[in-house]
Amino acid sequence: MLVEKYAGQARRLARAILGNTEDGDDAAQDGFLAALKGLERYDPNRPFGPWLLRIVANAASDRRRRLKVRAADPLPDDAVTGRPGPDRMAERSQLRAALEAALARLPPRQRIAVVLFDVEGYSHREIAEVVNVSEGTVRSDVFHARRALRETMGAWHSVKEEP
Amino acid sequence: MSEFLPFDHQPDPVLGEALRELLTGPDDAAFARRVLAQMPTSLAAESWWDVLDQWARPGLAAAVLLLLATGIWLAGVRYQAEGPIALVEDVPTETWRAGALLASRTAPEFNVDLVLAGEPTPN
Repeated sequence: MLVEKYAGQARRLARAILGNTEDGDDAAQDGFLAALKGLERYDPNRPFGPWLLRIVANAASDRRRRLKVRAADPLPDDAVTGRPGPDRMAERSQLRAALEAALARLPPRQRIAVVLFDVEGYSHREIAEVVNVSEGTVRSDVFHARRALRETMGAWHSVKEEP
Repeated sequence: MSEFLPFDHQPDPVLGEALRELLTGPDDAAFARRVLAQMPTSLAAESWWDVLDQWARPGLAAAVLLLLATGIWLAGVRYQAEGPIALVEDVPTETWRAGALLASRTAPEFNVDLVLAGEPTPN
């Protein structure tokens, strides 16, 4: 079942664009239903994943424009400063929050590019089909997104290691 | 994490895993059921996705080609089983031997039956 096969990818992409699980799942559902309606336009000779994810990305972007910014899941007080918590679980939670905040600061196209490349394993060419830009632009987006996210993770680890 | 190549063209497993953990929601199966429940029942939604799934399988294309090739082969076999077709049903001939050649399904014996068209067979 294709819905089950691509559910995880679609949800992650939509959540990356919208910044929260609830809106992300709604947008992913909108994307699947739009893909069903437009199934006659799908070329079976081309890979299905990029075609579907392009529709999901458009649905998420449309929802983002229409909605007022919904508050993201509340962040712990130490999230922005990166001060380590008392135990490992708290540290993981704070790292997640810091990474989530850094992802939210990226332009939507960079979020899409880095998620599809580093999380879902799509090529630069396939990602270019999803966001309808050149392959070179995708490479640039991935580069800039990685730099920002890696700096956040690196900074958080550095702060954690301070005495 | 401080060591990375700015133009690294390979996926970053550390960053990828961190983002995956951040973005993965619970229970993809429940989400899939939710999507399927929203699909119009008049379209027999599951069958549409199943058909699309079948299109994606290369084995289906191979089966279609095999059936086509078998059909062409069978048509050729049936054609060869038919005998020679008489080009004309009734040929005005001077002798019965020419008519026999036209109707015969076996090759003539030229040393006996070779005749020229229009020449009567001597008695």
